[in-house]
Amino acid sequence: MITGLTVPFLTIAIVSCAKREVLTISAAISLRAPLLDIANQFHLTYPHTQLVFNFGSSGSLRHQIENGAPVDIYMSAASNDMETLLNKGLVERDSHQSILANSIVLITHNTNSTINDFTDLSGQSIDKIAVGHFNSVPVGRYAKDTLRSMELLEILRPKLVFAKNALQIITYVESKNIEAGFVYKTDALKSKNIKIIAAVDPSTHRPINYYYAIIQNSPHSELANTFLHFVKEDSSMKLFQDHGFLTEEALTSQLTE
Amino acid sequence: MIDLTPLWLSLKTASAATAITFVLGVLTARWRLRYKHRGLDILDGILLFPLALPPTVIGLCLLMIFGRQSPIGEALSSIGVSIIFSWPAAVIAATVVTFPLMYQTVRAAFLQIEPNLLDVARIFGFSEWRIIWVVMIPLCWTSMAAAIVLSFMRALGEFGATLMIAGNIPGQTQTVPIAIFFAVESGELSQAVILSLIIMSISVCVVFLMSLLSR
Repeated sequence: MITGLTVPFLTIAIVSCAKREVLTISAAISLRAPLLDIANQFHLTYPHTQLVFNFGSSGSLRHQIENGAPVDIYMSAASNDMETLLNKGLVERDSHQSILANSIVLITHNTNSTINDFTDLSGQSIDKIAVGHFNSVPVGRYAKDTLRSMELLEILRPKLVFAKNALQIITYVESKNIEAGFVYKTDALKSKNIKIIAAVDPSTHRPINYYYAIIQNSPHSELANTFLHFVKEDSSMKLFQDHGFLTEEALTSQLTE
Repeated sequence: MIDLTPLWLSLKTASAATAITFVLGVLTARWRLRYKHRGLDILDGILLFPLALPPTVIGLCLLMIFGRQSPIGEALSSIGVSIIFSWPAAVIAATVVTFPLMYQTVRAAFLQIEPNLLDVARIFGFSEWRIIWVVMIPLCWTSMAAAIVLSFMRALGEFGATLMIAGNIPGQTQTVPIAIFFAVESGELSQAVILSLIIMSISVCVVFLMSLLSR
């Protein structure tokens, strides 16, 4: 009975495998929108391939890879998660690269006019502030850096609500349950109901870079290389910029200016 | 030294939620027993939603219901009560997710009761209210105990909806599952393991206690 059931399923699986090479990419959820755009473009150029995305927090994705998840490419929003995998020899050192950067902004609801600057955060009009969890969510780690260097961390600590991802922070602010939050600029741009009050000075936190690498012993390393080259092309970088990301090129020109 | 505040919060939350869901579940099951209309089967389906929906969605719905933008949230805040990011929010989340387990188990048990027994109680002049607590519940106590254990455990493990509406505020709303999640994500595995072991021993104790009580 069991074999009778499994045989057709196996056949389907084998047939679809023979048709397309599948590349599995574990990527930080903040990269979702541009990566899906890039995947569409990639599919037009390489129709016999299929990209499967596994989006999540950089930390969760790292855990999955450490425990042997069948992944071909890892794209992380945090350098320390990538470092851990590099040190354990779980990703190919040669393929390791940083291509993108992001920035942090302070947000509030569109209709809120009481907050105009960081100094307002300690005022009475603000009851709660949403941040990513300091130790596990990269967007929280950067916010902690900033609050600490602005000497606001201890003052604001009683007001902080720790979210598990940027989306949760945005939901809280969009629904007016929290007055202000710290998120990536790229996430802030996605919502029509929130506005950016102030950009965080990048010198107050460690650099927000995205890293990618091919997983060690990936059976699809050739296709993975092809995809990563595609990601580095100008057309893909343009898509990242459209979603608010800073590309390495733009960063260097900013620094030299 | 491990911080045990999440444990007290979790025990408090799960106990309160189980108590509330028990009363609500029993009353709804009793009410449902009296009305056998076909259309009410749809209601039964609706009452199961919290079991089928991802907890984050339930959390989001609760945020919409009790948040500052809703009429309920506004009415509450006008009398100075804010539910979101407070301990009652954790209790509400746990109550909502445990309700289907409680309701379904209790209803199935009530359906097994011989209707004549209830009529006998009525002949003796018992009020319907008294029949519930003195006749019906004692008659199917084993199922009641199972419903309570299931609900308490589900409340103890509740994570998604709680995180959404109660938030992750250490010392106020950070229950054990939330503490474990963030400990794992932060790479503090020893903290996660200790808290998990505590939860596991509580589970064993509760089941043991209930089996003693239902004997």
